[in-house]
Amino acid sequence: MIWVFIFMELLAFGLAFIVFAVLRSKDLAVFESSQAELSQPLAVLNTLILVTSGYFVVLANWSYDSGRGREATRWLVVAIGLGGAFVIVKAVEYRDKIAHGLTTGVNPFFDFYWLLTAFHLFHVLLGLVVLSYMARKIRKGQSFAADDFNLKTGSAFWHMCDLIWVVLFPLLYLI
Amino acid sequence: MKSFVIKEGIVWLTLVVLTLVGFYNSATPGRSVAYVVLAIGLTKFFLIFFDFMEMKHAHPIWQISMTLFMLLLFATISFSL
Repeated sequence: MIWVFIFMELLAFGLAFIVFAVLRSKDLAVFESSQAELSQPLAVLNTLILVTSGYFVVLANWSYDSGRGREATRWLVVAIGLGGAFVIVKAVEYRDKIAHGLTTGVNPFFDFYWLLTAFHLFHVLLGLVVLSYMARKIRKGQSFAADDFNLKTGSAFWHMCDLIWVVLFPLLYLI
Repeated sequence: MKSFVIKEGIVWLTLVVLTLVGFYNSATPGRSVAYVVLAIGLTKFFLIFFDFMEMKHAHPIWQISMTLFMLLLFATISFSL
C-alpha cells in the first residue's frame, strides 16, 4: 500500500516538475532572474540536512531489526531533530522571500517556488509526525499491530520527502 | 554489524559529495552544466530510492514503474532546457 501512495505522490510532484520545466523553457529570462533571488547555500544546507536525516532513519531501522529498540529510538530522535532543522532553515528562507515581496503572483517562477516548496514542507511536517509516533511507540516497547503502518512504511514516507527534494533542489535552485 | 553502518555511511557520503559537486558546478553557466547537475540529481534519487528506501525489496512492478517514470521525468526536463 505504501508503494502505491509513494508512486502517486511522485507522480503528482513529477507532473508539476514537468509543467515547471516547460514554462521555464518558454520564459527563460524571467525564470533565471527569479532563480538568482533564491538562496542556494540555504538550499544546499537543507539538502545535506535531509540526506543526513535519511541516513539516521536507515540506522534506526537497522537497530530496530536487530532488536535494539532504545538505540533505534535514539537514531529516530536525531533524524527528527534534523527534520526540525530543515523546517527552521526553510522558515528563514521564507521570511527572506516575504520580506522582499517575492510571494505568489509576482511571476510564474515564484508561483511554482511557493507551490512546490510549501507542498514539500507539508510532507516534511507530516513525516516528522510519523517519525515521532514511531519513536514513541518503540520507546514504549509497543509493537506495530498493522502491517501497513510500521517503522518500514514510516521510514519510506520520510525517504520520499528526500526523493522529492533531490529533484526539486536542482530544478528550482541550480539549473 | 559494523559493515552495514560503513556501507550506508559510504552511500550517505556519496550523497553529500554529489550535492556539493552539483552546487559548485551550477555556478558555471551553460546548458551542458545543467545536464550534469540533472544527472547528479538523478544519481542521488536512485541512491536514496534503492538503498535508503530499500526499494530493492519492493515488488518488481513498483521498481520498474517508478524507475521508468523518473527516467521519463528527467528526460522531459532535460529536453526542455
